[in-house]
Amino acid sequence: MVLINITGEKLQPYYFKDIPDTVPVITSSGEIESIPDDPDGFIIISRDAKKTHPLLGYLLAHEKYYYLPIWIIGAITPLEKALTEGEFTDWNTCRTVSEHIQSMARLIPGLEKADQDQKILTYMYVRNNFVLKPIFKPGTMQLYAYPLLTLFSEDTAMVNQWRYSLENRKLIQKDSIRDRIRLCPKCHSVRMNYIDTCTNCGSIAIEKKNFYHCFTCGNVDQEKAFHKSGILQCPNCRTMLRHIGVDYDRTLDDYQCRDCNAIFTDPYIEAQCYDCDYKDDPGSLEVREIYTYTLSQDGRLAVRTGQLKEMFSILDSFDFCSKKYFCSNLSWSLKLWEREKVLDFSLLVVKLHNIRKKTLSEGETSVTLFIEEIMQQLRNNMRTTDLVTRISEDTIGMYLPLTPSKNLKIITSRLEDTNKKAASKNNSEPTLLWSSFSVKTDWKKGYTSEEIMGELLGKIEDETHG
Amino acid sequence: MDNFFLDLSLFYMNIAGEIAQRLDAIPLIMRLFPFFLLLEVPYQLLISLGIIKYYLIHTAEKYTPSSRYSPRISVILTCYSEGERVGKSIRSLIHQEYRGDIEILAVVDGSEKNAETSAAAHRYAREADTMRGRTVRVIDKKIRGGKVSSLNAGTLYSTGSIIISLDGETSVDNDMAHKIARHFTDPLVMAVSGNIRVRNISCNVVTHLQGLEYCLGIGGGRTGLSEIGMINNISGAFGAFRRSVVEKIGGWDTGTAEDLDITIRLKEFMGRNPKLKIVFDPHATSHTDVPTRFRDLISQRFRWDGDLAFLYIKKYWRIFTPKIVGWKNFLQFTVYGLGIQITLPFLLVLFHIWLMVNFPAGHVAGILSFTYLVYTLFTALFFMQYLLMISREKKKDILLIPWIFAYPAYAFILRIMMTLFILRELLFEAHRYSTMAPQWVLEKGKF
Repeated sequence: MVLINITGEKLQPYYFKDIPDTVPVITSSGEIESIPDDPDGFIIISRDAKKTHPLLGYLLAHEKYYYLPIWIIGAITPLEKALTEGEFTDWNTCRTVSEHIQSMARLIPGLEKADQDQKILTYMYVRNNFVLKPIFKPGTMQLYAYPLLTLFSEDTAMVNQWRYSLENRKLIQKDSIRDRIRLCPKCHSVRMNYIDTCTNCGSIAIEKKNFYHCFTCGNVDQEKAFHKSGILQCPNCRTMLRHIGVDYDRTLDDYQCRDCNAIFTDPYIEAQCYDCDYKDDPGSLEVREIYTYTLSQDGRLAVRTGQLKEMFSILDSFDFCSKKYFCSNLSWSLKLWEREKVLDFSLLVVKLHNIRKKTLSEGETSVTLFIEEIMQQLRNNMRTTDLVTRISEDTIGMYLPLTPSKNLKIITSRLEDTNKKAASKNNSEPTLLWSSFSVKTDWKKGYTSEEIMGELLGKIEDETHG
Repeated sequence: MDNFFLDLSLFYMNIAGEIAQRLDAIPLIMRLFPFFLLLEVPYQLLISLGIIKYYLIHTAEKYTPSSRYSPRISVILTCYSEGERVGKSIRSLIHQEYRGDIEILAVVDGSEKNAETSAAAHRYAREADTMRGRTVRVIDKKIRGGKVSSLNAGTLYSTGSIIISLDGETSVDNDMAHKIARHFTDPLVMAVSGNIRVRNISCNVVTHLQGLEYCLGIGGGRTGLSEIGMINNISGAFGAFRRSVVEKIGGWDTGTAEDLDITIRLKEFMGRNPKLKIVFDPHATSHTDVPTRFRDLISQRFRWDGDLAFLYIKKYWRIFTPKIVGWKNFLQFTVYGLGIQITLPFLLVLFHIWLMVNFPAGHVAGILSFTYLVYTLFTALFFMQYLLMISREKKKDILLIPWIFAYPAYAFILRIMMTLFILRELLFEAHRYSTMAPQWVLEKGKF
C-alpha cells in the first residue's frame, strides 16, 4: 500500500487514522516508480478534488497499476467515487479488499500491456460484485457519463460505441436501469423543449379558451360571447344562464390558435432541440436508457482465458494506419472531389460480428479459419495504395482510391459469397457485416468525413440490431 | 266507575251548552270568521307592504352589472352524507361569475364514515386548479362533531372577509357571490340571508308543495320582512356573514338550529348597535334538495319547529325585551315567534275541536270550506305579488299556480303537526335528540 499525499502540506496525524507507519509516503505520481516493492493499492490524501483527478487519471492509465484499489482521504466528489473504492474508512477493510484484488489478479494472464477491453474487464473482474455506474453530469450534452470507461478508453470520442461494443459482445451485461432520457437524433443533445403548437398551422401562439354550452338551445360558443355585463346570457337564444350543470355547462377546455383561429382539444406537442435546429414529433427522439453494468459470464471467461486480444489478432496482419490519419486523408479527398471530380474513391467498413458467440458455439479453430479466409480475400483485393485503419477491435475501415463503385461491388459480392458459405456451413447468423461508400454515387455537397464514417458505422450497427 | 265518566261528560256538556247559549248573542258572521286570522293578516299585510317597497326601490338593481367591490369570499360547505351531490355545489361555487377570490372550504363531518362524500369533494376540488381566483380546500373531520363544529372549523381555516355558510346539498346560481357581496359595501350590513329554491321540485307532490312554500315563505316572506327590518331567520342552508361580526359574537353556538341561534344573537347585537342590518336578497339564489317523502318532511319539521320553541322559550327568553333587542325585533319575536309560530297552532287545534264539539257536521264543513277559500285567496294574492314583484324565474314559478289550491291543506297539516313538535320539545327536551350533531355533543349543551 502506498500513501500519496497531494495536499502540499506536512502530514497531520489525524489524516493517518489507523494506517501503520511502515506504509511508504510519496507526494506525487512521479515518485511511484521509486518505491522498491510493487504497490497493491493507493491511499490518496487530498484537500482538493480537482487535484485528485489528474492523479487518478495517471494511476488508471498506468499499465501496471490500472486495476489496483484506490481510497481517498479528504475531499471527494461523485466523480472520484466512481473511479475509486471510495472514502477511506479503516485500515483492515483496505487490507482485505486489496488482498482479494491481488489474489484475483494472479489468476489473469497478461495483466500488463492490456488494451482497453482487457483493462475494464480486469478492473471489473478483480473486484467483488463490481457494478459499473454512470454519474449524472448536469449541463453536459448527454447528461450521463461512465468516468471509468472514459479513462480506460483509447479514443475518448468513442466511449459510447465502445460500451455498446462491450455489451454486444456480451462481455458486460445490464444490471439495473437508472434513467431513460430522450436525445436529439441529430446532435444527441438532451436539451430539448417540448412545445405545444396548433394542430392546424403549427403556430405556438395558442391559448386556452373556455367554451360554454347552452342547454336551452344547444349553442356552443366561447366564454366571451356569453358574458353580458356580469351575467351569463346565451348569445343565440337570449336565455339567462344562472346555474352551471342545470342551465349550461362548460365543455372541455379547448385551445384556440391566435394565428389561424383553429379550435382543438389537444395541441400538437413538438420537440425542439436547443443545440441544433432539429424540430419533430417527440416520438422521433432517440430514447437512451441509462444502465448500470456488471461483468457477464462471457466477460469473466474472456478475462480468465486471456482470449480477448488473440481473437482479433489476425486483423493485425494489415498494415494499419492511425485513425486520425485515415480521417484527415478522407477529408482531403472529399475536399478534392468537391473542387474537381477527378480522384474517384470508395470506402468499405467491415465488421466481424458475434465472433465471441461463434467461438463458444463453433469452436475456436473454425472461427479463426473463417476470419483468415475473409482477411485473405480482402488482402487479395487490396492494392498497395489502399489505406486500412482499425476503427474498433472488430471493425476495420478501408479507403480505396481510384476504385469506382463497380469495382467495389465485385469486392463486396465476393465477401458476401464467403459469408454465405460460412453461414450455411455452420447454420448460423452472418458473421461479416459491411457497408460501403462510393464518392461518385453517394457523395453529397457538404459531407464531412465524420458524417460519412458515422453513417457507415450506423448502417452496420442497424444490421447487428435488426 | 261508569257513573264517574257519565258525570264528567255531563259536566262538560253543560259548560258547552252554556257557551252555546251565550254565542247566540254573537252575530253569525263573527261566529263563522276564523278569528285567528286577526293575528296573521296584519303580519301578512306588513310583509306585502315590504315587498311593494322592495319592488319600488330595488327593481332597478335587479340586473346591476358587477361592481368594483369584490372582497375575498370564503364559503364553508358543510358536508355530511351527500355523496356525489356535493360535486354540484362545489362546481357551482367554482364557476361563479365573480371578480374577486372565492375560497371554498368543504368541511366533511365524520369523513371516515362518509368516505364517499369526502372522495367526491376531493375529486371535484381539482376542477378549481385551472380557474384563477378559486381555491377548494377539503377539510376532513374524521370524527363527527355536528354542523356547528363544521362551521366553526371552517371559520378557523377561512381567510375571506365574507363567510358564506352553505349546505352540502345546496348549489348556487353563478351570480350568487356578486349578489351577496354587493350588500356588504354598506358597512352596516352584518349578514345577508340568501334565497333558497327547491332543486328537486319536480319529484312529487311533497316537493312541489315545498317548492311553493319556499317561494312564499322565503322568496316572498323574507323579502318583505327584510324591507321592514324584521328578518326572522338566516337559513343555515345559505347565509352570508361579515367575518368581523362572526368573530365578535364568537361564531356558532353548540346545539341544534344553529342558524336561528346565530340570528337571535345577531339581533341581540343589533339591540346594542341599532343601525346594523340583516338583509335578505331574493336574487342571491341557492337550490337545495328537500325531503321527498312525507315522513322525512315531518321529521325535518319536527326538528325545525321543536328547536324554534326551544330557542324562543327556553334558551333566549331573557333577551326578549325591547331593551335588549330593540322594539322592532321584540315585536317580531312576540308576534311572529311566540304568536304565529308557537301559539297559533295551539289556537288552531283548540278552535277546530271547539267547532266540532259545538256545531253539526254540516255547519263545521261549511266553516272549514269557507276558511279554506279565504286561505286559498290569500295565498293566491300573495303568490301573484311574489311572481310579479320578486321572482326572476317567472317561467318556472308560474307552473306552481295549480298547487296553490292544495297549499292551505298542506300548511294546515303542518301547523297541526307543529303543536306536537312543540309539545314534544317542551315536555321531552327533544332538541337533545337531533340528527344535526352526535348525541355526545348535544348532551354537553348548557340548555
